[in-house]
Amino acid sequence: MTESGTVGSLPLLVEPERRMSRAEWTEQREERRVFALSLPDPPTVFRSWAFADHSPLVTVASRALRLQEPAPSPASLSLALAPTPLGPELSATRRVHESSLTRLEPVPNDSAHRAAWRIAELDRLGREIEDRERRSWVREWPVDATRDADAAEVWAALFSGNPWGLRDRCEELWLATATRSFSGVLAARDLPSEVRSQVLSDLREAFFYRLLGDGHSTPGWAELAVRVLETIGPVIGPASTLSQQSRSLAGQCVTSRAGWARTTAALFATLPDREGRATAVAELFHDPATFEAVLDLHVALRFLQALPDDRRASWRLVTQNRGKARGRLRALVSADRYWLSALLAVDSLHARTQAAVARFAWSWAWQEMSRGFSFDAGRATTPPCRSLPPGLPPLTDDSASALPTWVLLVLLKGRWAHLERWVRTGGTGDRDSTWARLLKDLPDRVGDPDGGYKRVRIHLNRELVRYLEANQPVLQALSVLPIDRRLKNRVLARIEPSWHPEIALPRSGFPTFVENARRALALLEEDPCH
Amino acid sequence: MSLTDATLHAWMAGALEPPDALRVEEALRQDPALLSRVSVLRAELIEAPTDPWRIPPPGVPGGRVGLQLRPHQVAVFGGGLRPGDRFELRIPALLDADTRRVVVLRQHADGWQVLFPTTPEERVALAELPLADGEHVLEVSAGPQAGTQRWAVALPPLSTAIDWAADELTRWRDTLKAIAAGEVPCASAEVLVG
Repeated sequence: MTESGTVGSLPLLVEPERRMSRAEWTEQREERRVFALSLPDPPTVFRSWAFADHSPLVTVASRALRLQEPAPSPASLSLALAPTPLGPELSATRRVHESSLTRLEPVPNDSAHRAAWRIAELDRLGREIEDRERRSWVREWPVDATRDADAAEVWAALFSGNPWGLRDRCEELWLATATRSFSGVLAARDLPSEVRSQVLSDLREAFFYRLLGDGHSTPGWAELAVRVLETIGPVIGPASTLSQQSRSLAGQCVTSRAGWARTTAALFATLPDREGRATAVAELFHDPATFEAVLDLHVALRFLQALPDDRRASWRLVTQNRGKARGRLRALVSADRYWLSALLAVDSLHARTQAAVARFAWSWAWQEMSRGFSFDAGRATTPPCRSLPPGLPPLTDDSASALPTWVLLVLLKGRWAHLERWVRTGGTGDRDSTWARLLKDLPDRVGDPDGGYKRVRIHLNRELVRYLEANQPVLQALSVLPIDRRLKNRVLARIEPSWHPEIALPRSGFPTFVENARRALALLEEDPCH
Repeated sequence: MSLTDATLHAWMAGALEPPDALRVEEALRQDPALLSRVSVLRAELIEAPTDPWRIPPPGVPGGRVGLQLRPHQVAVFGGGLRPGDRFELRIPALLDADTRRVVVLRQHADGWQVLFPTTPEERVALAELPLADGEHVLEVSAGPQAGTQRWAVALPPLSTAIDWAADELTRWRDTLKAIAAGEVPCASAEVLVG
């Protein structure tokens, strides 16, 4: 490792300016410790969060301080509130300094210290979000006047819908970057070299087509554009380009999702109906900076509700909630297309696009992996954001409670691809009788008044990945079962405990369940960048 | 902290978001042994092959018109194809079918090879192929090797000059350029030969 910001020949994104000395870090930690132990008034408690200057948001967060009494372990109390011990003088990031904390003094476990622990953890988490989730995106991008101009020309051509004349230039600029991402995924999965070679050869031909899309679903260039805008800031970049219509859609979206619905209901407690709150949220989002503030509020509320004792669990809560929100924002912006001028206005367009291509291609490669590298040009890596027609209420947590079980049944019947197509398009492209029976297995109460399933599709559009993950343990248990005469009993023993009573238990097809469970698990292969 | 190979590959490819890249770089700084693992992983990467024929993979509609090629009758009497068996490639009807030449290719270990036409006399327009269910039917024979076989059809204008005396790449130079530019409809399909 060198001090010049490289590992071997690889560039480091974040060094060395994000490092701080032990003395600097100790000073900051001590300041937080004293601050927390002074038990400041609720508004000040949120000083490190993006909503600190938005008094209505601070009011909501302050009310949430009463949600749950903190019950930290002795180790957590010490980690947050014990005096900072002496340690080796080194230059490191804040988290590395934090991880070096050992031999801490015990801290009294009384109500005042428990309250101070909550304040210290809130303050630390808010600071960490600012550092890692916002500031880490800020970097110097290399300027290359020629390539930046080329990139602008290709972007304009992609946006115009007729980029064929610039295919060579597009590939010259960005195909090698996409190839590196695919190559990494293929190597990570340890695929045979002949398979890797074929996939990379296919990628060379499919890359441009994937950017163009199939004319029906969100084209790749729109998904890529959002990732370029994210280089300005992961939330503010894309959010700044949203049209009025998309802000309305964002309002509808956040007021109808389970956790977000609670956040927005708390924020607009005087507005009794969802429609009114959706309009209010859309108006709030008129200022793009409020996206980060509202997202921080949502995360803070989730933290105060759960109060995890473990810092890793706290951070998981942050990344999961921010990740989901960013996914929805991507879907909105990629469908919007109001961003061309913002995109062309950024400096270092080529370098930013290259970074975006690397991330986009990585997600794309994992998606292709789970589908045998079929390179369907019309399959977006960002699920589209859909809203319900006016007057059709979304499914509630209760009414949708049978859907995770139904998704498991679909997986066991080997119809994941059908489900995905159905959620995306409303059809499956064939007349599969198994799929038709699966639709009949859905409980009546999730159907629409007209007999359709628009509400289910919109619900699954958001929750499918979560349901897939939730079913992972049972899929794992099924995937290793021996196929013998006792298979049916073994399968039922593993699925019955969590099976929802509104979905009929399967009565046949058990040997295929084992193979289908293995295939479903392949869908859950690790993607560190999803 | 433990970092998976997938995460290290993502970092090497520049595919991690900055917070995750930061996590990896912190780990690399703390554990120099990780650097040697990165070097090993980097050595495992392979180069992307190149082929002068810019044929879109199966499933990707090719060229500006979005041509698709569909294998048909690949499972006779419940069995699969065997080497030498005949099967059909179905090509959607195009408005200018009478002006487009049918060029058939198959992928070999060293790349795409033109199977038809190989002589000036083999001059067949798309319109000359019989129609079934609104698609042109091209009958071909499965190649001798077992496994997945890739076939492709390109439809350059009949008016495109072809220098039959030249080697294959020179002969098809104008068609290759036009395929890359999306001007010549082109698509591929896969069949499994057992």
